[in-house]
Amino acid sequence: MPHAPLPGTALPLRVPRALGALLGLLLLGACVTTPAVPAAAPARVERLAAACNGCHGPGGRGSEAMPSLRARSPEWIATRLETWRSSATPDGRDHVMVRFARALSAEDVAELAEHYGRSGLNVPADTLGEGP
Amino acid sequence: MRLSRRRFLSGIAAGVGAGLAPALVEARGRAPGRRSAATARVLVIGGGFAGATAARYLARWAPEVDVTLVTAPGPYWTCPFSNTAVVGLRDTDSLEIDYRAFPSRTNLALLRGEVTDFDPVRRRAQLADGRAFEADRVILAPGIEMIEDAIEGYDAAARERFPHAWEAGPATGDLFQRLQAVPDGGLVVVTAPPNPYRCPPGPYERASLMAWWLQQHRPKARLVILDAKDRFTKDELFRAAWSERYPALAWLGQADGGTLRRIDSSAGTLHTDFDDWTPDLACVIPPQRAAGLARRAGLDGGLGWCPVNPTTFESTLYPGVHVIGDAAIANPMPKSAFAANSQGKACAAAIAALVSGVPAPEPVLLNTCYSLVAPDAGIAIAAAYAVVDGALTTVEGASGISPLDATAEIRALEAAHAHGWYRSVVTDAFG
Repeated sequence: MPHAPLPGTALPLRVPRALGALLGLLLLGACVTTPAVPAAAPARVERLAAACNGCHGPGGRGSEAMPSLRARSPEWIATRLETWRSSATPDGRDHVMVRFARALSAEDVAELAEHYGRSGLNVPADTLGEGP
Repeated sequence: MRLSRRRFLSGIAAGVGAGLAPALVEARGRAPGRRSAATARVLVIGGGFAGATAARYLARWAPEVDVTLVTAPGPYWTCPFSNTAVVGLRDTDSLEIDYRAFPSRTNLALLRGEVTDFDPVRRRAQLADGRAFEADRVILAPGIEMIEDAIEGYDAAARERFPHAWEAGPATGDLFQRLQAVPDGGLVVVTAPPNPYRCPPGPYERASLMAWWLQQHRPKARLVILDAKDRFTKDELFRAAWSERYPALAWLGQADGGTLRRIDSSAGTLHTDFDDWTPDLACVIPPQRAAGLARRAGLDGGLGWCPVNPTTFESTLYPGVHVIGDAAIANPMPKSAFAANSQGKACAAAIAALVSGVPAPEPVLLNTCYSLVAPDAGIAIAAAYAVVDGALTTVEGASGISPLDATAEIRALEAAHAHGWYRSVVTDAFG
């Protein structure tokens, strides 16, 4: 039965792998003191923002009637989310965001406000909007 | 060999302390020839909303993981918004995903091929063209298949005569042709299947839009929904819209004898509990189950759908194999493209953690199902989900439907949001 490695991931020899591991160790040593160490799993705010992308598009840039979340002040984002989050009952203009905001904690609101508050208007093409 | 190398690298990470493992990832992520230092290989099978989303987000969130997405070689049309093509509001062509434009990443490869068999123990995918691939983890997003022997007489002739068009494509445009051939005074039937099935509001949105089209072009025609259920998603909103807009639309639930029992395709007759229907056009949407690839692999455990851990979407039957999208059991999440997109991200975040040796984070899981009851009137159901005591549950207070008494402006706004959502989610999943 033909059995190929995954495309683009072929490792023809063991030696380069060992070298790669050694290189990794060396670079590990170089990076231990680097302050901005990424988490193994994406941070909650990044996963929340990824959820926003489902309607608001990559990087929250908006699509047609779906508003952009970018280039807003942190206060603008926080005020809206907090208003919806604390909405005890539907106000007759109940909509999707009222429901979603109720699943957010106060800390989530603050982090999302900061996340989008740091974002600019433009999202690079072909990205998932990583970083503002 | 590969696994032992992974264990070796994990050992390094453990040796220097779990907190430093990300530095290893980061450093190697920037190194030239980083590929040769990948910590894990993940194969994603199925390039629909679930699989494409999972592949893209995993490649982004885990730069040290090599991700390969394998999707069928033929064209793919999105099911979302295909009901608008059934009534001529858009072309079927506009629903097609162009995988040639699929965004590339150094650690993400797209491969076109048909996976014919999957071995969940070896995590080995066999392709029709003879190639075979193994991976450290596999994400299966194979979608659904119709249960063709669930309704008596549902044979090839019945499928041709009463098309479901529940997997978008040429059948979608064909259905619009057939709708246009319905005479004034004619009868159109849509049958809705028992739960669970792909796109719970889909049959009712389709019936609504068909009723709208008939009202414009065949004002004496009638439309009947024959339903195997007594309740359905957003039923209050749909029924209110029907009584307000479409007097020629009737809905018969299970208690009304609406369940389709038998089909006589040569006579063109649909038999329900109490009645025989001989429509000018009928969409028979049959009962469904997880796609054959997942079931043949035993991932459904004989249930028809695949049980998964709701935090990681890892199969409860086969470690290292994750199932997302319509094929998975993720109640109370519906089998929707929105849910598939959301699960793809949750699964990607979980795998990014697991391959680094840390626990999967609490998943962020959302759903919205927009439906058009007319071209300029939308309704929605939305919910957020959380894992409580190991089970997926709807977050208290974080679910609901559009107001019953909304103004026309709000219905129009939700229709516009539906269009915006579609554009966004297609870009999010496919680039």
